[in-house]
Amino acid sequence: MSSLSNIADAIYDGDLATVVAQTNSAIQNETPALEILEKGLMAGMDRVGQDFKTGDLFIPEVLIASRAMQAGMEILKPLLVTQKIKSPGKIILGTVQGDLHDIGKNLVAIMLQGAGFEVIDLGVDVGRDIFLKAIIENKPDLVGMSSLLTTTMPQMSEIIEAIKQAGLRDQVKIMVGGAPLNEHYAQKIGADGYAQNSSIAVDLAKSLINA
Amino acid sequence: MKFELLSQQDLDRIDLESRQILGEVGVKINNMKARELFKDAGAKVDAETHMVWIPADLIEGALAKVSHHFNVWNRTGSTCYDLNNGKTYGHNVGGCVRIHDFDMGISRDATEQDLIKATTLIDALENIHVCRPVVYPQEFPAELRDIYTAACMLQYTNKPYGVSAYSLRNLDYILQLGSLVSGSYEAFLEKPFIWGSVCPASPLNYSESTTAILMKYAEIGLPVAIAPCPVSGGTSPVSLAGTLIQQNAEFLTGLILVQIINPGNEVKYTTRPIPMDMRTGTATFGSVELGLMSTAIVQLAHKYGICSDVYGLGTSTFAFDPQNGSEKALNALLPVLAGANLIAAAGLMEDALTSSYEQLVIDNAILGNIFRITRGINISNETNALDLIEKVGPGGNYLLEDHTRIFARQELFTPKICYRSGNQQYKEQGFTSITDAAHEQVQTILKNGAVRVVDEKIATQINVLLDEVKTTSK
Repeated sequence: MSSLSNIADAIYDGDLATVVAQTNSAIQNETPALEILEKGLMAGMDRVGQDFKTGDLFIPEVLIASRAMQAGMEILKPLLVTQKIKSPGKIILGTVQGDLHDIGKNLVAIMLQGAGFEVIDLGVDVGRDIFLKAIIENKPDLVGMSSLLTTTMPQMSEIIEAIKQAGLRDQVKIMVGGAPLNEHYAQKIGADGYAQNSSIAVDLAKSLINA
Repeated sequence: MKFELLSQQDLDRIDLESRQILGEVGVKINNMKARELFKDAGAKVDAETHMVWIPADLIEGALAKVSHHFNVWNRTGSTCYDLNNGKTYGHNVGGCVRIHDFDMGISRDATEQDLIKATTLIDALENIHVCRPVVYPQEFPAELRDIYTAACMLQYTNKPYGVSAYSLRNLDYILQLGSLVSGSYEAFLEKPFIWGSVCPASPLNYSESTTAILMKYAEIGLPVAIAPCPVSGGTSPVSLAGTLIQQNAEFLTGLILVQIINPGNEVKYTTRPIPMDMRTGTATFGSVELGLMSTAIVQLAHKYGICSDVYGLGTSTFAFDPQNGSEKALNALLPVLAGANLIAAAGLMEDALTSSYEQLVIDNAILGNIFRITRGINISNETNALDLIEKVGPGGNYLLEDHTRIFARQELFTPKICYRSGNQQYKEQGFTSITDAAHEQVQTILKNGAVRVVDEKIATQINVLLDEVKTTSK
C-alpha cells in the first residue's frame, strides 16, 4: 500500500524516475495493475488536478506530472490490455485551418493523456478533410477543435457542418476551446461542449463520454 | 534600482535648514530631566518656557553615534531581523477604532475578538513581516488600551511588533507582559521582540509624558521609533518642503535625546506626514503627497544611515473601489522604489479610522506585487536563457521545458486573490471582485479561529497581570 502512495506522491512531484521504479517494483510484488493505476498513478493525478484548479499548481508543474503519469502508463499498458481494461476514451484534436496557435491545444492533449485518454493530435492548420479522414480511420469518441483567432473561429462551424454532411455527427461528441470562444458560441455552432481551460477540458471530455 | 525624488543638493538643504530650526527656533521639551540632559550635553535651555536650542555639534555628534541597525527578534527568539538591512519589510496599520464588517457591509466599533482574529490573520500573511495592534478595541478601558492590546499581540502573533505606551506606568506593565513571555526581564531585553514608539506633538513640541517614555526606552536600550505626525497645513507648513524640514527637526530632537542617554541606541525614522484636506480639515491618508513626503523621508533616513518606516498603503475611502486600490498602490510604490526599509499601513481604510480583514489580505497582495517590482529583472546566464532559446528553436514552445517550471515561481508573481481571465474558480465561487476572493482567504485562514502562540501557563499569567492592572487602576 505504501508503495502506491509513493507512486502518487512521485506523480504529484513530477518525479518520473521514481514513478517508473516504484511502478516496476509494485508489479514485481504482484500488486494488480488496475490497483497500481487507480491508487497510484490516478490518485496522484487527481491531486494534481485539484491543486491546478485552485491555482496552487502551475501549468509547467502539471505538465511534468502528466509526463510522469504517461511513463507509468507505458509500463502498465501491456498488463491492462490482458485485463481488458479500456482507456476512458479516444479523442482527435486539432487547431483549425488558418490558425497556428497550438499551445492551448497541446496543453489539452497532455492533460487528457494524463487522465488516461488516447489522444490523436492532428496538429495545427487542420482543414475539414483531414478531420473527416481521421474520424473515419480512428473512430474516436470525441473530436476537439481549437482556435485562437477570431478570423479562424468560423472554421469550426464549417467543420462541424462537414461532419454532419458526412453522416458522422452521431458517432462523435464535439468539444471546442480557445481564448475568444465562449459557451454561447459553442452552442451556436452546434458543438457539444466548450472548455475554458485544459483542466476543464478533461472534466468536459469525461462528462461528454459518460453522457 | 533606486528612485531619487530629491536631488542630493535639495536633500542637503532640507537637512541643513532643519538643523537651523533646532538651533534658532528651538523645540519645546516639557520634561525637566530631559532639559537637564540637553543642557549638560551643550544645548541652551530655558527653564521657564521649556525651550531647548540644539547646537550643530550636538546634532552631528548624535548622528555619529546612532546605530545603523534596527534589530528586533521574533517571539521565540530564534530569528533576529535587522530591519535596516537594505530590504523592504511590510507592516500593518495600527490603532484603528473601527473595523469593516464584510457581512454587514458597514464599519463598526472594533472589539477584542476583532483584534485577536486580525492578529492571527496578520501572523499568517507572508508580506506583513512586523506588526502593530491593528485595532484598539473600544470596550477596553480607554486609559489602559495600550496594555490590553499588548496582551493580545503577545498571545496571538510571533512577529515583532511596535508598542506605543500611554504613560510610564503603563509602559512598566507592558514590559512586565513581555518579561512573562520571555521568562524574565533580562531575557526580554536581550532579545526584544517589540520596539517602542513615540509621537512628538507637532509643531516642535515634546510632551512631558512622551519625553519620559522615550527616555525610558533609551535607558533600557529598546529599539525606538520616533514618529512625528505633522498634518500639513495644520500642524506644519502646507508646503511639502516646509513639512519635511519641520518634521526632520522634530525627529532629530528625539534621536539626539536617545543618543545622549544611550549612545548607539537603535532609532527608526517613522514620520507620518499627513496632508490636510482643505475642504474638511481632516488628515488625508490617501492623498498622493503622503507618498511624496514619505519618499523624501526615506532619502533623509538613508542620508543618516538609519532605518526608515513610512506610509504606505494609505487610502481615504471606506470602500473597496478603484480609489482604494490606486491610492494604496501609488503611495506605497514610490517610497519603496526609493528604498524604504518598512512600508506601513496594510489594512488601513478611511483615513486610518477603519481597518478590515479583507483589506489586510488585499494589501498583502499589493505588497507582493510591489516586492516583485523591487526585485527587478534578473540578468544572468540562466535567466537570459540563450541555450534554451536555441534548444526550443523557431516554432517550438517553452511550456514543457524544466526551465519554465523552475523559473515560473521565481520570475512571475501570481497573486492568489486577483482575477485573471480564465480563472474559473472565481466564477464557480460566485466572486464578483478581489474583495470576495480576499474574504474567502480570510475565512480559510481563520477557519480554526484565533490561534494562541503562547502556552496555557503564560496565558494565565498574562490574565492575572491584566486583573491586577484593572484593580489598581480603579
